[in-house]
Amino acid sequence: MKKKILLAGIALFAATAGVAGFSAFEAHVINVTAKIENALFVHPESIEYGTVFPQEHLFSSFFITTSESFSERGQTRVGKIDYVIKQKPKPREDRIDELGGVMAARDWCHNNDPANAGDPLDLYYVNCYPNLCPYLSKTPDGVPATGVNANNDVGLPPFHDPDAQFASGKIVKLPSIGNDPADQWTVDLAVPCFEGQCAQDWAKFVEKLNPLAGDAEQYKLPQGLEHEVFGCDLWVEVTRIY
Amino acid sequence: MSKIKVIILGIGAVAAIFVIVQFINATKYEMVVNVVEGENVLGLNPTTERLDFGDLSRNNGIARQVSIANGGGMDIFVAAFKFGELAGLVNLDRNFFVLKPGEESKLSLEVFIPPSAETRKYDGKIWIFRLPKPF
Repeated sequence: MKKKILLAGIALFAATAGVAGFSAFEAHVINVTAKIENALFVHPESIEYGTVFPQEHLFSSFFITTSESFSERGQTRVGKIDYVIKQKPKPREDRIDELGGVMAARDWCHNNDPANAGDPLDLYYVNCYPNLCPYLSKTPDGVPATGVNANNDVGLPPFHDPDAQFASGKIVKLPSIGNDPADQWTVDLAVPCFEGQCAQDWAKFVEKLNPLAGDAEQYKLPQGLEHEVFGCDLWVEVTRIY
Repeated sequence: MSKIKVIILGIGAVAAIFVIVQFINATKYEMVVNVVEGENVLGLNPTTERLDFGDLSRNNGIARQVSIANGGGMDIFVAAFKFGELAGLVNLDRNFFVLKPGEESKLSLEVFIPPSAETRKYDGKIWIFRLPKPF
């Protein structure tokens, strides 16, 4: 009996030592690290504008704040969040699986261009919506208007390069005096016109909304895309917390 | 006890230790999202203590990323498993892939809140296993 207990004890010790030793050995040899990134991407609800007409103006909005967990009184380690609002071409829902999932589909739409931008049957348009992103403006709420955090959000007018230009914002929880705990963003669609059908004041329309837009001709859409549904994914990307 | 039995027991013990070690060494994260009333409401919590997806109203989505780096000299097979009621709402952009020595990869976890979701907290866990792949 004593021998059996002794053997069992030895076996248990060997197993424990084996697990600990092997664990340490593996952690040393394999050396794989995993960490949560503080950047996050928020995808606001699809904003649908329905049927629109050239040079029409349509508005929608979304609201960004800190979460309940971030706002807890005991959470004082970080108090400010910087973010940018990015725009990405929108993949068609029925093609997402075919393209390897949501992220891969977005990458595909971002990294490819139509061979013939005016052909609605182009492979690009089979996978992705024609791009609405250059025509969406983002206007901040302008709150707070005074104090150290006054006007700490930067908007972006329509008729811009969606790959290079972004709106940016800041949420300030701490210090609590004069803080900026939330931002309301207005998303405005300045409806473009189609080549050959634009009003004579098209250039003025573009310049009025964005004096830095450059040549208004570049924002006219090919006629072949008339009656097509356009899309754009808006992403809020957290760039810094401190 | 015959020699064969001893060998089988030995192999079994080593295999059991290997499995236990993988469970010990797996990276384990808590996941949480708080579904709130309203439209287009995005409550952010980008802190890194856990995979907190913040406050979201219905029909909104959010993605967080976990970066995985292989600083060792051996190929690693990465496998992630989700548990809990939030697991069904979380979509991984990739899973079951190999990470070569010196390589770094980001695993994106995207949550989408369906219109039918209740306004409350949803919890879950994700375990990321890093298995040595010698061959």
